[in-house]
Amino acid sequence: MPTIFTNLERGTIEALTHAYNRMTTANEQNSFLSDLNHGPTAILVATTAAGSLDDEHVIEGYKKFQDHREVVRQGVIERLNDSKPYLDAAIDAIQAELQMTVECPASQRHYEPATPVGFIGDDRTLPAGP
Amino acid sequence: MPLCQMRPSSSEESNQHCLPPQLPCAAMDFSGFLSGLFGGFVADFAAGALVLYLGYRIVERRLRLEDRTERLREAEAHREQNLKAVLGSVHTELESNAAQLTTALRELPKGGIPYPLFELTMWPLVSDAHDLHESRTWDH
Repeated sequence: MPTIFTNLERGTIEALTHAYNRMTTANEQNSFLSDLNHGPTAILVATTAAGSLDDEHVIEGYKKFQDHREVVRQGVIERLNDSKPYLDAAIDAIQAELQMTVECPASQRHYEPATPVGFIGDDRTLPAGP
Repeated sequence: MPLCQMRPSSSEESNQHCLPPQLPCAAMDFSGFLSGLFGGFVADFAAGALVLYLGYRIVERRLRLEDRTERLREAEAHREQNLKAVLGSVHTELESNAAQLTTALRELPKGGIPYPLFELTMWPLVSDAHDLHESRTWDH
C-alpha cells in the first residue's frame, strides 16, 4: 500500500479512489467525444462525406455518425453526473484531513472556474499569445 | 702526599661505601611502600577508568537515544508537513475539477466540449508515493 495512504483515514482513501477513478474514465470518454467532434475521426468522416452529400446512403451514414456522437455525449454527461457526488465526497474528506473549517459541505457549494470558458478562435475568452 | 696515603682507611671506606646493617630492612619497607603505592595507583586508576568508561557509555547511550528520538521527531514533523502539502495540492486540484465539472455540465448539452476535462496530476503522487517517502527516509 502506498505510504501516503497509510497516513490517511480509510474514508478518505475510498473517497479519493472513487473520485479519481471516475474522473479518469470521464476524461477517457471526453477524449473519445472530442475525437468524434473535432478530432481525426471527425475530420475523416467530414472529408469523406463532403463530396457526396447528395447520396442518401452517405447522408444516412453521416446521420448515424452524428447520432453515435450524441450518444457518446450523453454518456459523458451521465458520467459527470455520476462523478459529482464522489468528487464532493473527496473534497469533504480532504478538508477533514486538513482540519479545514468550512461553512457547508462541497455538495452545497457552487464551484465556478476562475477564468471563463474559452473556445478555439474566440479572442474574448482565450488569453493572448506570447 | 703519596696517593696510597690519600686513600681512606678500611674503616672509613666501610663507613662511606657500605650500607649500615639496618638499611636492608628500610629498603625493603620502601620497596614495599612503592609497590603498594604503585599497585594502589594502578587499582585506583583502573577503577576510575572503569567508572569513567561506564559513565561515558551511559551518557553516550542516553545522548544517542535522545538524538535518535530527536531525529524521529524531526522526521515525523517533516512527514506531517509533506502530507499536508500533498493533501493541500490534492484539495486544490479537486476544487479545480469541481469547477471544471460545473462548466462541462453546462457546456456539453449545448454542444461544447471542454478539453482537457479533469486534472489528474496529483493522483500518481498520492497513490504511489513510495519513492518519495523512501528517498526522504534515507536522509535520516
